[in-house]
Amino acid sequence: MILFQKCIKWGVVILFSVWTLFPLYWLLITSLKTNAEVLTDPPTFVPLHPTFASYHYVVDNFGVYFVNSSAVSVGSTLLSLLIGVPAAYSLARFRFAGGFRTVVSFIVLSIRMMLPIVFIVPLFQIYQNTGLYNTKLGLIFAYSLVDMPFVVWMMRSYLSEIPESLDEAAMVDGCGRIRTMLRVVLPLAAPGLATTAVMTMIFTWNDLVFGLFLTANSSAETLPVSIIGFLSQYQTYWSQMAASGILAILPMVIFLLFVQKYLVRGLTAGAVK
Amino acid sequence: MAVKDEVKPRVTFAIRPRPRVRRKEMFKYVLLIPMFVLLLLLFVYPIVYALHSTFEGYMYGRATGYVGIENWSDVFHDVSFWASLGRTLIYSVIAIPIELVLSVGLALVYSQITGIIGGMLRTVAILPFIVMPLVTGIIWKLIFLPNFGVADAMEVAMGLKPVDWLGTNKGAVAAVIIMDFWMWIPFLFLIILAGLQALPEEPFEAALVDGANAWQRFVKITLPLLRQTLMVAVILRVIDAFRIFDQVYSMTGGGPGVATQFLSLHVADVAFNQTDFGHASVQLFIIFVIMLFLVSIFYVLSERDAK
Repeated sequence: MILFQKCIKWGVVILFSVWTLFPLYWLLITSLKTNAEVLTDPPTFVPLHPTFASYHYVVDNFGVYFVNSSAVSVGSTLLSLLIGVPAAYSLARFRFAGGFRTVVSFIVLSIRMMLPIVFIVPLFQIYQNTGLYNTKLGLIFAYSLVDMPFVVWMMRSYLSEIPESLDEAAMVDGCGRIRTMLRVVLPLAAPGLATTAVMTMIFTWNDLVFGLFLTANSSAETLPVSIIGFLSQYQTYWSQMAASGILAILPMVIFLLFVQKYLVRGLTAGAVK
Repeated sequence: MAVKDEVKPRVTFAIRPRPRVRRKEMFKYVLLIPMFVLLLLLFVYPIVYALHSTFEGYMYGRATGYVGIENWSDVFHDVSFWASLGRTLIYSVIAIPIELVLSVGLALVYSQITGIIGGMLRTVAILPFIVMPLVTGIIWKLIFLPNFGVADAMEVAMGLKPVDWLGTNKGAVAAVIIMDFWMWIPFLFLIILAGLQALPEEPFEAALVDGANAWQRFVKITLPLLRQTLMVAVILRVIDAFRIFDQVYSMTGGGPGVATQFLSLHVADVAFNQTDFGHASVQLFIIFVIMLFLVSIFYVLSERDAK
């Protein structure tokens, strides 16, 4: 009976792992095939003539989109931290009259969870009129609209876990409000801060929709938008598309290893710790 | 305040603590100012702009003047918009319960595996979640390609008649839901696993002593204790189901026809293909209200948990 249970257990685990890994394996081998081999019937499960040609093509021609995506994700993450962390500190540490804190927190959360398209349609029109359309700066602002609430929501939760007696002790020792915040509280929240920053990066890097509608060409287009380009313009460039997909995923897999322990908290906006 | 001090120099000493209290009062608002500026420019202004757009007629993406509530009444009678909402609901109602049941089962199995192997297996299990959603769409498009895809090859190998996944309405919806399993089971699984591992051990020990079997322990103890976690997981999942865009955009593009045109895809189509920002803006406000309702459920749940 126990042996039977063990078989079931490991059977489930192996089946689920194969289910998870196979699509990624399929992407990988597609990137190593030639476009002619991608379109063979029946498909080959191991590339007959593996080649890195698609990777060369992507690296040679798509570097600019990697740069754009990096600039936008880093820029938006920094801006969101710069604005969001002080706000989170204020909401976590001080008392406010009436329902002020509830209202602000709810608005912030709602923005985070809203459909991005809700903001994109008016932003598109505003950007067209103000010259922010198709600029990296415009994209950084647009992403910070959804990234900053994430930072506020996460950091509020992390900061409220640091005992307030530490603040009081620092103030008694002569630290001002700002010094207390920067030198005492924030260093203690450093792990939470790092996790929040990395997750913000991942979300922004992975997102398609803002870049898709707020940019027009290589001066601001992000990586996901360029990958979509393979679908519409070059219908048959499967191998190159897969290669750029692999290159887009890799940095995030490395990030995942850093934040895995704290992932649940980030994904549930702090509702599950 | 400074003026006050000058006028009544005699009481300066007595009221000296007050400015400091005021500064502390000010400090908490000063910290919030940058956020409010950002929200004013990127949230309030666009929303007001969109509200204005709902009363404008549009021709080739250019505003042509005030049209009253015409856009609003149009959208309320617009079958294609409500159909996209209906598609989103149907897809949620089919996908989420199945994902939830499978995730609970998987979490129960994985919670028994500890150590380095357990850690590695968990990392593998959550990989799909950090894959760029658009790339996920591409992967599954490759898998479901007619003739050249894996799904097709497997159906042929099993002697079945190949299904035209991406070319038929039902096939495309099924394909999107299967992709959804791959993408979202890791998310639910991870939350539920964390919930399981945080459960106290005493009730289980007591139940063992009382002779409860595994199924009784699961139904009578695990599920009730997991209720909060499960509710948070489900409401987050519903919210994300309404947000679905990237992976469907790259997998089916909303097609065939409009079979997989969910909410975001529909609004994007109205706004950017038909360049009808008036009607799109009305749809935004309807979606806005629906989402506020869903988010308030999550807000109440998560604040209750915090207490």
